[in-house]
Order: sequence, then structure tokens, then C-alpha cells
Amino acid sequence: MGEKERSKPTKHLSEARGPLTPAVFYILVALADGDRHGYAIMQEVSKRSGGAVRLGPGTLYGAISRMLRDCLIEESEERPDPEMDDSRRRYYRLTEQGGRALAAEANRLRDLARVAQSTRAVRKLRQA
Amino acid sequence: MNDCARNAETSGRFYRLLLFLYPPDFRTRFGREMVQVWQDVFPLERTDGILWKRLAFWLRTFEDLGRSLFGEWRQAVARNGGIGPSVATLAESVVVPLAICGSLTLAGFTVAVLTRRAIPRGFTSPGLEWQSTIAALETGAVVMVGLGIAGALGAYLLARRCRTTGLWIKL
Repeated sequence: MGEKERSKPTKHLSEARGPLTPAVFYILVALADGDRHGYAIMQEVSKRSGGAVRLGPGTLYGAISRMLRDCLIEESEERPDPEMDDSRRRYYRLTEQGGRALAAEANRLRDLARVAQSTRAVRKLRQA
Repeated sequence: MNDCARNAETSGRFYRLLLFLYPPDFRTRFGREMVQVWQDVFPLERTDGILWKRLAFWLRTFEDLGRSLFGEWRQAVARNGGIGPSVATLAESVVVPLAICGSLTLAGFTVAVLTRRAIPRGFTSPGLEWQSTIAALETGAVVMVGLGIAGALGAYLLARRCRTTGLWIKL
């Protein structure tokens, strides 16, 4: 690695990847508290977003496919409750990289919100 | 089996057919799970049996399908890296046969309408009027069959060229 390259500041994970899509972000959030199967992810996303984000099977598994490819999540071998569960379901879990991406995106959103809060227009609205 | 269960089964079968619109790789990997999730959602969405709610559910299903199909095909084409393999991937799916059938039906219908218009009007006998309509429909059907044979031949040559083995349409 050259001196020039080494001196470059390390990009934050979310900067390197670009902002996450709402579907990917919410799926990461849903998996942050434990392994879930597709339908459970769907329900959790709907609950966490207050019903604003409703993922259909196509959007859900499209996002899951990309996230598996990017190693943000992985298929889980463990089944939380094998007796109560349908064996056909596949469970997914957050990877370390997925956790880092989630944290980076949360930081990015927090910074973005802070910038927006500091604008005159928002301050004016909050005072009113 | 009661009406509700029969309805759920028919709808599930229809949804399974819709999944054939996805690229084969994606369908093979996630198809079963998608059907499972869809079956979980279906009873919750239409328990009261109100028509507009059922329509809204199907509209959402189609919206989801439309939204994800483009992305999945784009990725499948990008993964195969080039027009040659992507044509093979397309040909493996039901998308191409559907497009061919649609085009054939449209071509046959257009020919039938044009033929019917070309036949002079003002027949005194209703029998002759019927005969002319049937002649127009026959011409349309002949065109459809002709185009169908040409399409099937083209598809066969394409499949051979792409060296696909096994079933061409993976049903």
C-alpha cells in the first residue's frame, strides 16, 4: 500500500456503502434483537415503523438476497423454539458486518437529524 | 374443504404461478419462503371477506411484485455479465413464453380485425355475415399458428445456441 493511500482517512462503513435503503435498514433493526424468519421480520418492520413500512414478500426477499450477498446477514442454523416452529422456515441473523453497518447508518441519520434541527426553518417551527 | 380454505388454496396456487416471473436462481432460493410468508399474510388480510379489502390485498401483491421484479432481473442480468448468458436466463423463465404468447394473441387479433374490416359490409343474408367473420377469425388463427411455429423454432435454436440442457422452461 502506498504512502498516499495510507494517509487517506478511513471511510465510515455507511459512507463506503452509501446510505442504506429503508427496507435494508429496518430489516437490520429487526434482526438486531435476535434471529427471525421472513414473516417475523415483516411483522417487526411493520411494528417498528408504526405501519409506515410494509414489506411484501418480493421486496423482503429481494432485500434479504442482497444483504446475504453483502454479508450483512446470514442464515442461522439455530432454531429459537424447534417444537413450536415450522421446519420449512429459514431464520436469519445479523453478522458483525451487518451490526457495524447498522451502527454506521444510525450515526449518519443522527448527524443528519442534528443538521436539520439546527436550520432556521426547523427552529422556527419548533418555537411556534 | 370449506370455501375459505379452497379460496386460500386457489389464491396460493396463483401466487406460486406469479413467482415464475422472477429469475430462476432467485425463485429457486427464495420461492418456497415467499409462498410461506404470503400464506401467513393472506388469511389475516381477508378474514372478513370484504371485496374491496381483497382487491386492495391483491393490488399490494402486484405492487410488491412489480417493484421487486425489475430489481431482481437487473441483478440477474448483471450477475451473468453479458447479453449472451442473460438471454439464456431470460429464456429459462416464463417471461419470454408469456411475451411470445401475448404477442401472438395480439397479432392474431389484429389480423382478424383487419381482415374483417377488409370484407365489404352490407350483407343481405346473416349467414354470409357470419361466414365473413369466421373467415376473419380463421385468418387470425392461421397467423397465430404460423408465428407460433416460427417462435418455437427460434426458441429451439436459441436454446441450442445457449447450450441449455434439460427443460427449457423450468416449471
